[in-house]
Amino acid sequence: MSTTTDPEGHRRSELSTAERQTRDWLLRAENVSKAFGQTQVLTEASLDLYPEEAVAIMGPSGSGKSTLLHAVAGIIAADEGKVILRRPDDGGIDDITTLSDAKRSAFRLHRFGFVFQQGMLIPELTAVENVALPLMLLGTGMAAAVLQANAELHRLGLLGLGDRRIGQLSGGQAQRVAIARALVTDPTIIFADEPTGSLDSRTADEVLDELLASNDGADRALVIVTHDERVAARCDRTVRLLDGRIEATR
Amino acid sequence: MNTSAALLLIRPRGTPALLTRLQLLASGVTTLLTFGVTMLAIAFWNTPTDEVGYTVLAVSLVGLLIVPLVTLGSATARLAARSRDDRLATLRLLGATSARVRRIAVAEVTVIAALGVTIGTALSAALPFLLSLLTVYGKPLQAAELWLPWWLTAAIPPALIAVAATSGMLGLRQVMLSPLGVRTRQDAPRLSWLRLVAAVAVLGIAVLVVQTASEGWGAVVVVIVLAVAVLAVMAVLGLAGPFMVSRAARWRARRTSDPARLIAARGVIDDPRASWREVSALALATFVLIPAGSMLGYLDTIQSSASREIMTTDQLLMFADARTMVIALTAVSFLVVACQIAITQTAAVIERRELYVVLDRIGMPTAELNRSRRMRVTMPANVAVIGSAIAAGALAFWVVLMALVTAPLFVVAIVIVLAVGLLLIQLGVVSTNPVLERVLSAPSRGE
Ligand SMILES: Nc1ncnc2c1ncn2[C@@H]1O[C@H](COP(=O)(O)OP(=O)(O)OP(=O)(O)O)[C@@H](O)[C@H]1O
Ligand SMILES: [Mg+2]
Repeated sequence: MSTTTDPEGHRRSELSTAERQTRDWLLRAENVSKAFGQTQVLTEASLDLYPEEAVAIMGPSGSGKSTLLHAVAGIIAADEGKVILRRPDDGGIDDITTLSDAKRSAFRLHRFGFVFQQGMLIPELTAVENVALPLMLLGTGMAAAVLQANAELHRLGLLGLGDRRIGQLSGGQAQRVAIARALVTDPTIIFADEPTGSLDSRTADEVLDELLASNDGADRALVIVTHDERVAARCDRTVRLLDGRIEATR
Repeated sequence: MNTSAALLLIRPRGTPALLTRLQLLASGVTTLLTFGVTMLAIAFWNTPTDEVGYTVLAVSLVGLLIVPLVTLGSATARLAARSRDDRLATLRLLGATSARVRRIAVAEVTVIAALGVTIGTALSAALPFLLSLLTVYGKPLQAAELWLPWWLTAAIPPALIAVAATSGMLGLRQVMLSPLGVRTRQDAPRLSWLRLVAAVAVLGIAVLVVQTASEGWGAVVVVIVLAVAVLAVMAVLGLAGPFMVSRAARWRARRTSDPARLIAARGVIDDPRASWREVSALALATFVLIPAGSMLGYLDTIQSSASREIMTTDQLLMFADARTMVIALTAVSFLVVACQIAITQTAAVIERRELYVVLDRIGMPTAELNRSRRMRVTMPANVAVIGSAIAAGALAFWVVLMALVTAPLFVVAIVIVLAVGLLLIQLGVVSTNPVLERVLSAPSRGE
């Protein structure tokens, strides 16, 4: 798989959306609905995710972007609809909407990576321990996990910051540590909820570069919830939500 | 901004409301137990005998239980005040002066405490009847004799409310000083090893003094010397405790591949003082239980042997009462500790809800989260029990040795009681599992 550099100097994959979508989807959400009490927050939202693509989710505040992300990622249980994933090894299919809380939790650990607006790192742990944590949860020993985490931090240009506490990192650095934490388990999908929302535009660009680059050549998709048209423009397509319904997909 | 808007903001909803109920419960329990302890102490004090043992019993009962009781009341008020920090920050943003915000919050905490104290005081009217089930000096206690003098009854509630108000104020100051709380803290505090050196030195001196104390000094002097030695050791336990706890946690954090344990250990390392405070009542109970229980075992052996003639009837009666007191003391301490842990852990989950939400999202199983929370408490609890057992064993070496030889079953019983205490602590944490579940079930709302 080759990559090129676009006019702005960003690395992008050569595949077009059409080409990509001839391949098998990684995750398929079908008619997912969710209500909180009386309010219908999400109505019959459907979304397919293909390898190597970056999908932006946009929409006004309160339109259900985070809820869609949470439902697709199995953080919350959808009321209706299904979310199915293809297993990488045997091509079999799992429906996460039918799983128990504990099973969904295991699913997130094994298959998904998450990046949130404020990094949401564990303040008690050092940067490298934060990155090593998902591996340790998967059963990797401390020493091996730290080694792998350091390699990941190195790739993201954070070598030497591993022993810092989270409070000693800048916003951009913390966000990169969060990306390292999301990538370290080699997940199928990375979900990012306003990952650059609290960064200045230059740092936001750099962090976005890292996120997009993580997709290239990997059997992985990236979902970014954002309010920023510039972020959306750099993704392969944009899903627009209005009042809990998917209005348009570019 | 008018007061009603301020009150609207500060009135707790959702999970913090749970904390309000807990504060109510805790201040009620504190009041009830304070009245009970005072009544029992006065009953011991008024025993119609010259046996000084009863005076000692009365004084030590008050001395040993007032500390944990006041801790419980103040810890709760402190946490209740702190748990309002989100809303306090909002109020500040809306333009309320910080003095005003503080006044409102402290007033609220005080009102809740006052309510709890009032309920506790009302319920304490039943105490004389309950306590009359106990026997002191060979006779059942008389309910009529247990009523406290009116001035004492009148003094206890305001004192307890004052403790709550002061603690609430202190808890708030912590928030005000660092509005960002944990997030701004960068490095774990390093406690000096001098704490340990000082503690060992004091313990050494105390052991020396206790060993050399002889009847030639006169009974009063001996009692005072012993009391001072015991108090000094209790005081340095509080000094060495946080250091030991932090050391033990560092040791654990270094050699674990278990993420639940790593997070727990790091939490302890970040705030060893608070971790110790949470279990300090347990340390105190252990420190008292070991020599007292050994002594009782030893005396029990004498009592059931031919040499019982060396003891007067008064002494025999007193030992029976001392046993009652040790049991009561242990039971109440454990209860207080478990209660306090349930409350601090509830507050901890609310305060650290973001942490738990993110761990849940990245796929840490809820059972593991709960295990981590449990370890965060049992780690210092183990240190407290083992540490004060060592201190008590050194101080009362001969008594414990004698008990081991003459009444090994008593020593076994002590160990079992301590194990039960540790188990109760775990139960205290487990009782807050639903709070975590609530926090996780509505993560985006955080309430
Ligand atoms: N746990 C919850 N309980 C009740 N209502 C909720 C809950 N979470 C979200 N909502 C409601 O669902 C709607 C959609 O919320 P959501 O967080 O998905 O919006 P969003 O598009 O991500 O908005 P923003 O851009 O502000 O992040 C909102 O009206 C919100 O109030
Ligand atoms: Mg959102």
